[in-house]
Amino acid sequence: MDRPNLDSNDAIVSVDRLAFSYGGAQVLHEIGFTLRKGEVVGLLGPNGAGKSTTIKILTGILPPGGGTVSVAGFAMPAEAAEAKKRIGYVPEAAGLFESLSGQEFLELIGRLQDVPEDTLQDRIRRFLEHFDLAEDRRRRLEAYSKGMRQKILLAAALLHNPPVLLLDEPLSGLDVNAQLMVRDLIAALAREGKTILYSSHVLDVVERVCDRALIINEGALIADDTLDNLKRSTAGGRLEDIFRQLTHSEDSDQTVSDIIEGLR
Amino acid sequence: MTALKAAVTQTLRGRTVSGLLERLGIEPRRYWILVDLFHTLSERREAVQQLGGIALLFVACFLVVISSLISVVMWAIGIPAAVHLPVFLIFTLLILASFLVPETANSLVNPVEGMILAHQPVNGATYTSAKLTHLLRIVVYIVLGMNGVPALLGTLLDGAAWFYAPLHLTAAFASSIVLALVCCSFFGWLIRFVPVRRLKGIAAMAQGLPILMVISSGFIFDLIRAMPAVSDRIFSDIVVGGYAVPGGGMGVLCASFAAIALPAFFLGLRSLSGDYLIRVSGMVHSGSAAKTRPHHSVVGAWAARFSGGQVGRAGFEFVANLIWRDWRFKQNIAAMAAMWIIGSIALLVLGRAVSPFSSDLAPAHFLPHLSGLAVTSVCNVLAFGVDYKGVWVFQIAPDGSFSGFARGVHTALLAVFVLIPHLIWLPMAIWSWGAIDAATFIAYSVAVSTLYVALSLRLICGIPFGRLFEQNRMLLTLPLAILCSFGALIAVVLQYVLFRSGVAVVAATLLVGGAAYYMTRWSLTAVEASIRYNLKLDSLGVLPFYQEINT
Repeated sequence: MDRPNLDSNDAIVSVDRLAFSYGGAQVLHEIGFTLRKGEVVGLLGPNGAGKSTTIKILTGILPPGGGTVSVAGFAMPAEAAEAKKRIGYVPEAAGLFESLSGQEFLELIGRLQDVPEDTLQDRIRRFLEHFDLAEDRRRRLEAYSKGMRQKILLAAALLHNPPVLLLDEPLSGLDVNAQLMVRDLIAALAREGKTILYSSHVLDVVERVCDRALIINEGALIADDTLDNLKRSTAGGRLEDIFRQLTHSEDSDQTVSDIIEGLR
Repeated sequence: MTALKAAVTQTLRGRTVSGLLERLGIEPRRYWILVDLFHTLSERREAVQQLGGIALLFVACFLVVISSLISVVMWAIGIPAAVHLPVFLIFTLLILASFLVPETANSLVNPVEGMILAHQPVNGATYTSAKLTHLLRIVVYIVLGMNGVPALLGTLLDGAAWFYAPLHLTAAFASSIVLALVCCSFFGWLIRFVPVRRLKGIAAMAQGLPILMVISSGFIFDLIRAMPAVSDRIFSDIVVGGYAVPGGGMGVLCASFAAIALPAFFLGLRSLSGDYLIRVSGMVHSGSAAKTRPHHSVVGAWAARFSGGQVGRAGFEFVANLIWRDWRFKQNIAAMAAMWIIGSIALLVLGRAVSPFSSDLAPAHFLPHLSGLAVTSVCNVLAFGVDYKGVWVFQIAPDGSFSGFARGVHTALLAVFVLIPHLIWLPMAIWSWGAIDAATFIAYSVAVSTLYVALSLRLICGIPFGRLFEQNRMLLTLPLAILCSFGALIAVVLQYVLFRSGVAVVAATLLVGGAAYYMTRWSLTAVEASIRYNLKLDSLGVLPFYQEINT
């Protein structure tokens, strides 16, 4: 199936009145947003707010409980197989086939994504070299550290050169050099026209990388604006202040003193 | 051989087969990638819970030996070919069912694999067909192991035609493939209709089905025998108001059964396509809807007192909770649990009229040994769990805590497998045999079961639920069960003699109870050592062995 023709103003990801529940618990309450070509959008929210669930629905791992979702012009979940060819996904907590080597795992993912063999081998070589994994390419993944696994997941997400990247805490476990490299890579990918949804708890990275932020709290989308507009709307002018204000976070001083009291 | 293998591979992956696969909604290229992947994972023991590689070869070789022996015996005693074939077909289907049901559950209800592959562009039909190809390998190994030699020896039997061997193998393969598809269809129904959060538990419980089939086989055969008469009566007397039905009611009943079973079978298989991968991977995300109750229970406090304080309570609560929640553990003991529960009920119901003190052999004599066998099976696989990666918390536990923890584990096993069942059985026994006979028997049964627990503790190889499951451990279960059953039979015979005298029973109870006490102390030391060894803590400290040399 051909990729739909999308100009720069078209929404490449479109979410409308998306709802989801696990068992009886409503996790997402009819949220809606769009992502355009070349945008890097931060997805923020406290633990359990529904960020990872939103990303899993966009990747086709979870079926939407209500509302409509389309990625690269393909409706989810009906056309999920086509949409998945256009998505690169770095999960928050990923399982890996531990007995495969890094090279074998990337080959598996690349072949499932139908990347031509020459291109695939060339991309794998480049990724492994730039992620400092070239010497470990033949080692089984069970011997990889957390950071090395994260690099493999990043490489696997990029192998088929997808137009949409869904990154759930992509810097988790990476060393400082790798973090800086990935940060620059995200900016470069956006310049190449990739659409990136970046979920993270590290607010200053989001502040540096993203153009726009979506803030989810208790399953509801409570903010969707550019970072500049969001900063202007609060007194502190920092993303941290916006986050606290919108999610009604508790006063941390009081929380800390309560914990210390309990330890005495 | 290599050239032949290459030719077969080339043919299978050629244009004709690919066209056929495409017509079935399977993407040939991704199908072969997944078939290769599952083969590699199986060879490298990634999917340790699945039967593959050496374990599969071991099972096949074991079956070759057993089936050859049975076939030789049948030939020696002059069994005709007409009996030889059905006997082997029934054996093959029973053995295959006992392997295929857990294997299908492990293969199809595999959330980890689902999680890795769910966001890849692989449709359900492609993934499922690659999985079925893996199951087909097991069918080939087991059918050939069970029928290869008997098919050849069968040609020597009375009444065997010249084409007996191919006929035998074709019948065995055809019926086994139907069984494999029925298994897949059954799990297809589970995946489609059981809520995702209950899927793991139900799939684990479903593995007790082969045992249930064996236990209830007598009843099923009776039912089948009675069916023609019953169905004739239903159709002639009730349905058509006393008129005769051409061909009898049995034909109509079979046709009705087929009309329901065939669509159910195909719908089940169809359930494995479409969003199957999403549903299976959803098991990881959905968690459980079950709420846990607050643990300030009286039982926990009592366990702490009995097993040496808070550390003992930790061991007690850990095991008492996880034996109900760890789906890998439940899957491993499902068959034994079904046998224990149904067997206990059957023994108590059947043995109601016969007191263990009567001159007849009372079914109740088997009761303590059935509990003993159950606890032996449990201890054999207690160390394996789905959340084995959480074992690190024990590596940072204080060094002296494992003794108390082991006592807590023992208390939990004692409570779940000895005390609670006997408390349930006691009123039934009093009602059936009177207070004195019942109390004496239950006291004796508790002592014997406690001795079984004490001995079985030595089978626990590390922190409970703290190790990745090893298929080889399950292969030990059958010889272990045969050995224990043999020992239990001898014990039942001794018991039958012993129960002629009440005084002798009381003395034996005290003796067995004392033995259980000392054996428990001895075994608890072994459990503690096993925990330390498996956590690799011994290498961090000074071993007693080195202490001896140093001093």
